[in-house]
Amino acid sequence: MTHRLLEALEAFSNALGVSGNEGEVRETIASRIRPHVDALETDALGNLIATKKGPKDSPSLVLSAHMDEVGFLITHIEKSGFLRFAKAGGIDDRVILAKPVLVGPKRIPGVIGTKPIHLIFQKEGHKKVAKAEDLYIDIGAKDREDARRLVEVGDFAAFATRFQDLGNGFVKGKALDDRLGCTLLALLLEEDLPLILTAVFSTQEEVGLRGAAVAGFRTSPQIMLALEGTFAGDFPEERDVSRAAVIGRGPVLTHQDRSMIGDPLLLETLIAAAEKEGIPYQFKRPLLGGTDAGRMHLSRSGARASVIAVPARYIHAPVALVKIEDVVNTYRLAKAAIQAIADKDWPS
Amino acid sequence: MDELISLLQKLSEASGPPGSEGDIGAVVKEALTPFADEVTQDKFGNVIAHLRGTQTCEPRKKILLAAHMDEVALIITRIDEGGYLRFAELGGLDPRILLGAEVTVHGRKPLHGFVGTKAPHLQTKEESLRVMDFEELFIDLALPSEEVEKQVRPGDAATLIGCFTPLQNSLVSGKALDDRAGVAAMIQALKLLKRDSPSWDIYAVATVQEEISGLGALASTWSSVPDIAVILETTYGTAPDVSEREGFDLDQGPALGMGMTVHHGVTRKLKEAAQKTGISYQIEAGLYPGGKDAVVIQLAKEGIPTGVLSIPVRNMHTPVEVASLEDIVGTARLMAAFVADLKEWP
Repeated sequence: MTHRLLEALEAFSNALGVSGNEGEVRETIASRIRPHVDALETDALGNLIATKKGPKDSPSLVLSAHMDEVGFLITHIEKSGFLRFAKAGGIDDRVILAKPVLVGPKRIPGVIGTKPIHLIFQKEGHKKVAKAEDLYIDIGAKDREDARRLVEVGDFAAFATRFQDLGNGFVKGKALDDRLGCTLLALLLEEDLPLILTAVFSTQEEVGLRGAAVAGFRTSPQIMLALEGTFAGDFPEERDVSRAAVIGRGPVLTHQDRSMIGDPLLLETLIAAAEKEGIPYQFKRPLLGGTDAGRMHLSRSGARASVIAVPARYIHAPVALVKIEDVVNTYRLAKAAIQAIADKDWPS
Repeated sequence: MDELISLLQKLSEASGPPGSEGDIGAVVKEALTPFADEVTQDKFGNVIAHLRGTQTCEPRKKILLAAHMDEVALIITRIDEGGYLRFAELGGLDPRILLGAEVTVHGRKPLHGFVGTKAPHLQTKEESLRVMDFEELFIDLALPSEEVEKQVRPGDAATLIGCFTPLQNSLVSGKALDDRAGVAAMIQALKLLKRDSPSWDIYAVATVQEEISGLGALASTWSSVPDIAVILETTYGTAPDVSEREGFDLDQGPALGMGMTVHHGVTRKLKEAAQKTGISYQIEAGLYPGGKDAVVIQLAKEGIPTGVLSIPVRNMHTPVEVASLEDIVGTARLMAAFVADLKEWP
């Protein structure tokens, strides 16, 4: 199981899919899950929606994981051939200086440039945060015309980080938020399931839970779970009493975030499933972040919704770290949760 | 060109924090060996390739070519609770490029480290507008703290991980092109010179510790005692935030240094060589062109007439430095033409 999880996570993490440009990662996921589902379609916003039939008269469940990753949108090509960009999704301006990127569907390599420290020092500019709007991508073009052979305004750029197993129980890669969720969902589709599962691989989560808005309408969930990669907050010198999620302590459950109050009965069901299976779990620091569940629980007349997430360090940065044990435990919990949801007699 | 790309990739990917240039030293030594009569390494780690000249009367005149092989790096200052490493700079680094960077920590064995970042979800607005200085940054090795304590000691160095990547046209990106681009040009120049059988003796030296003190250049000048020296360095490349007044265009040839560190006679001869061979060059007028090695070599012994050729590099002292292969080739050809033409001095 661990091997299959890592193999899928590697393929999904390396695929490009900046919000609004999820074509490559959608194709990567679709080709993996196609043999295991009964129906597969892509909707108007690019969401990939799969259904898998369950036993006769079984209940239905919607699971959602977002395919998109934070990145950049090319907004202008300078006469000199350098590319200007805007951020797509929540990226700290401070993590992008001097990082390699891949631009557009042709994966043109480039780097985010910066003035050398020798020249900045004289003006004390190194004490100011470099704002994304002042930065540029260098692909080595001679001028605008040369750049336009390969890149157009409106193309995207993603961090160029390659996935790697560090050999110490951790893996590193880009876009682990939320290719972790995509991985769990893709592998769940390969299992024999006790219910009718609708799997939503959503788009544009990072720019306002936009894909989930229409996926929720189409799939009209009664019960739904978002599968996520969430931030771990176990930093040195972090004084807060709750350090948010901690690496190695298992899947992260949500009482309430910025997008929703999780359904209490569904959360109790998840906790009971974890305890029954002896899977460690922890809670997310309340009122931070939001997920597709925030959109989808407001679909049509409303749905019971909750989140199961893998804790990862340094998400939304060029490279994130995740502990393999946490991925495996989150998968076990998601599987146990499906069984528990199928077994439960839900009050209407 | 493929040969140069593969040489530069090997040079760029090798590690050489100031004071621990063993890894890069081995790569340079192997690359210089086919083109020298003898390649040695001194007690500080300088790699010295000696190609004997054809001049029959002793003592033969000697030229020193110097390019530094160390790179800017980090030094581990302490191990914090949880196994997080704190560090300071080893050479001049902008702390702003480090958030989200990957590093190799040179402990008992090389360890893959990550300069940690706080997810935007956890930040306050004020935090996001504040530059994190070296004291606040940390390296995460994704190892239990007992294991970190076993593998790493304060004083160990860490180097930035760069991904050597060809960009469009003749540009490449990677770490430590300052001054591995100069080292590559020096190796290529020696290759051309071996074929040309020049009359002077050549000492081509890949120096250590330029980013800190110039100790390597000092020691190698005293051991070779050259009649003249040329430093192969890098200088700032133009970019949207580096104006033509501050930097030099890529692909327009090396910048010929003019200033205190430079001898007018050497510069004149370099210009003549450029004109003769049709290699384009630019002029870098600054007080001390050529970095620490130029200063140290010029002032060694009774004073060495020194010249400087610098290859423009964008994003200097970051893991994504950008240089032009054409500029490296031009620098090598110019260097070789200059040396091949040396007869009497002055």
